[in-house]
Amino acid sequence: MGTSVRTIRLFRRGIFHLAVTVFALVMLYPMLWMLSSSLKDTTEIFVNSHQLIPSEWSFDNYVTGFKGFAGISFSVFFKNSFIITILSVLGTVISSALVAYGFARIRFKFAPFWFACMMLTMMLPAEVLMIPQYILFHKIGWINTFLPLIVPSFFGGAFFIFLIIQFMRGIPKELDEAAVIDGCGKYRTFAMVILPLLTPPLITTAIFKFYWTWDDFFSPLLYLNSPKLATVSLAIKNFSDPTMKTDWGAMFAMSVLSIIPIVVVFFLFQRYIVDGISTTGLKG
Amino acid sequence: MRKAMKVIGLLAISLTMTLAGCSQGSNENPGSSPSTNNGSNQTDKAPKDVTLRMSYWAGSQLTVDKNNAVIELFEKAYPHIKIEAEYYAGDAYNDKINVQAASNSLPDIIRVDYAQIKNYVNKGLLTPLDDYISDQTINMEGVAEVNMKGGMIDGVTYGINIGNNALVMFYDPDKLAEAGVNPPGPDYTWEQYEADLRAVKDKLGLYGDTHLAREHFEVWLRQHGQKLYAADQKTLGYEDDQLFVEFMEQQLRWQKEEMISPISVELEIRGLEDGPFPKGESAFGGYSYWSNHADIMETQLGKELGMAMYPGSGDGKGMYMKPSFFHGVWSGSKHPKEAAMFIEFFTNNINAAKSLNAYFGMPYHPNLVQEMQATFSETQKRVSAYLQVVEQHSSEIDPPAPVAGSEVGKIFTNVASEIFYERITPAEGAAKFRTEANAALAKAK
Amino acid sequence: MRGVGNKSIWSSDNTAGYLFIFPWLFGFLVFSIIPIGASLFLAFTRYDILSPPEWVGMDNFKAMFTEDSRYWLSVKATLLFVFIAIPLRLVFALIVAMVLNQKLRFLGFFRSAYYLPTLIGGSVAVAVMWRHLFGLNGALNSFLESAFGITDKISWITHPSTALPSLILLSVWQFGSAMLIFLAGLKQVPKELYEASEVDGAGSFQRFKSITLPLLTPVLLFNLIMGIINGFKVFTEGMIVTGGGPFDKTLFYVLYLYEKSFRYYEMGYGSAMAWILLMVIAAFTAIVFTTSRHWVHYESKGD
Repeated sequence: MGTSVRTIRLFRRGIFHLAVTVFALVMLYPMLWMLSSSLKDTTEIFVNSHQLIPSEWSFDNYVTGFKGFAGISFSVFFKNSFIITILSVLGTVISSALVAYGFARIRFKFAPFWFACMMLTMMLPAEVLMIPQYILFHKIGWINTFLPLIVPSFFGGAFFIFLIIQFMRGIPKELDEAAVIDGCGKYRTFAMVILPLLTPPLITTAIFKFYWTWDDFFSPLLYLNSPKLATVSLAIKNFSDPTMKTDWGAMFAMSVLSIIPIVVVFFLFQRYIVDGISTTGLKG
Repeated sequence: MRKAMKVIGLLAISLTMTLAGCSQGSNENPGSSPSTNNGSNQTDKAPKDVTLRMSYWAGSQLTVDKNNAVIELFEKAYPHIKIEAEYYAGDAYNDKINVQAASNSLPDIIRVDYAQIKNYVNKGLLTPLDDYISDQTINMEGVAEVNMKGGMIDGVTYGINIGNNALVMFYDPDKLAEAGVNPPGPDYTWEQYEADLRAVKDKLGLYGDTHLAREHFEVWLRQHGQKLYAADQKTLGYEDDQLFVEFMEQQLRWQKEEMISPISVELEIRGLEDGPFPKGESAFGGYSYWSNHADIMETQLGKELGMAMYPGSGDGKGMYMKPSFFHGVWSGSKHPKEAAMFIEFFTNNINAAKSLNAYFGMPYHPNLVQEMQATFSETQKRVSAYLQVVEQHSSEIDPPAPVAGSEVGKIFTNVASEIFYERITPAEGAAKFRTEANAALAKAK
Repeated sequence: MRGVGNKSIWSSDNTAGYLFIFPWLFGFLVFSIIPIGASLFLAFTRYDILSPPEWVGMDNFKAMFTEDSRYWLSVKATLLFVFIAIPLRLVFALIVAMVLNQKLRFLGFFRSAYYLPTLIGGSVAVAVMWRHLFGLNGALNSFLESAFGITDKISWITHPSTALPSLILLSVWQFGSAMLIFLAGLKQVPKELYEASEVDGAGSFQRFKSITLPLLTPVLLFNLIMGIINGFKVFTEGMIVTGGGPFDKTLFYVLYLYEKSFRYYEMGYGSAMAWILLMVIAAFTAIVFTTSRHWVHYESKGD
């Protein structure tokens, strides 16, 4: 290979990297804007909105914002959000994996019917279920607790179940068969053979569920009455008032803070999707 | 298989009907109170401890702090009553009230907006307060009738006004002076307004103002002796479409001459601090601002601002005083008397009023008005003065909007946009508005 | 290998199956079926939330299809959105996933960057941000002016002709979640297959066509179905960026449903709308599922 070919290669790699970077900046622009606004004084935010570098910047918004409302600081809201989110993620990952295996790998009576039911549950907009669901939870006395926000996660999420099923379908059935030959029943096969191969979809499930739950303000709005139980997403929503003064600076500051856990989670976990399990030696 | 489906289907239907039926229940069992962490809803004999729940709109820390300050003062005055407050911002508030109403678990004290009060009363959600007024639990002696009217449906009082506001057209006195325009007085006419918009555009190169809003249309109709809704609220209240046409045509004129901001800019607005006027891009600020926004505007622009009534208000037919919010008591509350006591305290107690400092609108109780003047900031003094001008040039507020009110509002905004994007003519718009609004009004009960 | 025959409901496959899906089944029967049943019931009533529902039979459906012009506007806006945004989004997601599946410096950083827009999702920040790019005084317009001298500006997000496209763009920009799933799917493709085909002399496009694409089809099916379902349910973008306007140009179906149910207190009508939506989504999904037999390749054959 001559130097010219190598140069072309390098050049192409360079352009490639450049394009990817530029594109990434475009994707990042909103975050940058939010970050910049959080460092500006509220009165400046709309007036000099194009300036990404604030004329004078300070962390005041963060201090003010973190104080929260009426003596309830954001540390309380963060604590609440963490509790709800982490428990929901655990519940979802465990239950969805189990259910997905049942649908994907086991033939049992009425399976297609239940599968269809599960798909159907995703097709109704949440808005129409809101009131009947609220009444249901009210009747069992779960209002103003975290229970309606956590417990349903332990019963699998249709989206994730379907996702894991599709991934399972990419795992050759010969593995199951080999396990059966080795004397494993359905349960052992799941635990020893399938589960270890599910890392990519399970990580994906965890990431999605984490940020959906973390960002969800509607369920906390409905089911939590006491301000002390509020989550970060709900508290931030309380910062924006179309009828009165809105403390935009504080709101953006807290929004930035609230995105950090999700980004961190994503950044840490995306490696596991990357360095997935190589299925060497599985085929034949 | 099919049989199983049938059974499940029937079961589901009967379960849901029971659920829907149960939750609405007759008044014999006004629903159990929600399991709160520290509620102690015992019988309401005075010495025993009582916990009340209250809900209100809040979109900023300041609002919450102001409310909490009053709650603390109240709890000090009445140690056996505790208040648990819940607050939500914007639309979320209505969502929350809705689910609580559906499950029969509304708070004892509800802050209600004028646009909603009639609906709540019709659905039996609020308790009449007249008894508490006559036995002076809520002391309304000496209060002008006009301040009470808003909270009265069919002659019965359901809500107590927590403070007055009025529509306002802000203006930047410096910009007007630069353009050689006299600040608007009470006898400001629409012709003068148009001339002034032109002057601002010509001399300063700025916008005069934004397009007119739905609030302007209501005032416009009132100025012409009409109302938006008919007395029975089943149809629109004005017969002559020309009124609509003129209202829109003048704006098209202003739009063509670029004396007002483009409609696209206005549709982009995201908050009170956003928009041509607070950004210093226009001389007048009509939009749909209320007098209690004065603080926000002055902070944004960093200067003293002028407040004027809408053009054409000289004869007093157009403008009106609006109660900012009402406090009502839930019909299913177990402690209505204590709730009434809180409402009285919030509205009429001098310490509470001083603490609130007209944050939720101007106090109107004669006992308070005098004393408050001493504690007002400069801005509030001006707002107070403005409201006095309005009081002298206003007539009774229109009755509360019907349930279909929001839908009619949306139809108005849609038709107005279509006109300003020049998709339809004002005449077509007038007809379209009439047809669709009447359809919406006819449907609602 | 088949399991033991399914003669009686107590045979081991059935037990195992039901045990595994028990978490979902329990949740469905206890928490979902009642609200779902209730919403179906409500579709045939007049329900203003604050007082008990009142049976009206087919009235809601009749009104929807024959008297409500805004209903059809919402159908139009939603269909346009689904048929344009979803394919675009999937294509983008796939391309970017393939790009990020290679050796790149700071891979983790780039992945996070591309995923970030989905995280910001439904906040007011996004709405204001979109305005900064596409508003009357936004970046796009200043770019057009400086690069091409175009001074006749329009607001891309509020102008009737461009409002919907700008929302479509917003949705496509949030392709991060689909991308993530494609990434995970790409990782399932055994490296040996690529190595083997390289030895055989296959070019990169050939490799994509014969190895990557077929093995990605299960995941592609997933993204397609979820894209359809979520596409029809689009709500937040309409709510926060355009409010459904101007004059209902971006009034998405679920946005209209929400307005009807909670702003105009016609929850019965909203429920009726929801069930029509469900039937439409189910129909589309069923079509995709049945055709999937022909183009989706499962490693676990015999399914």
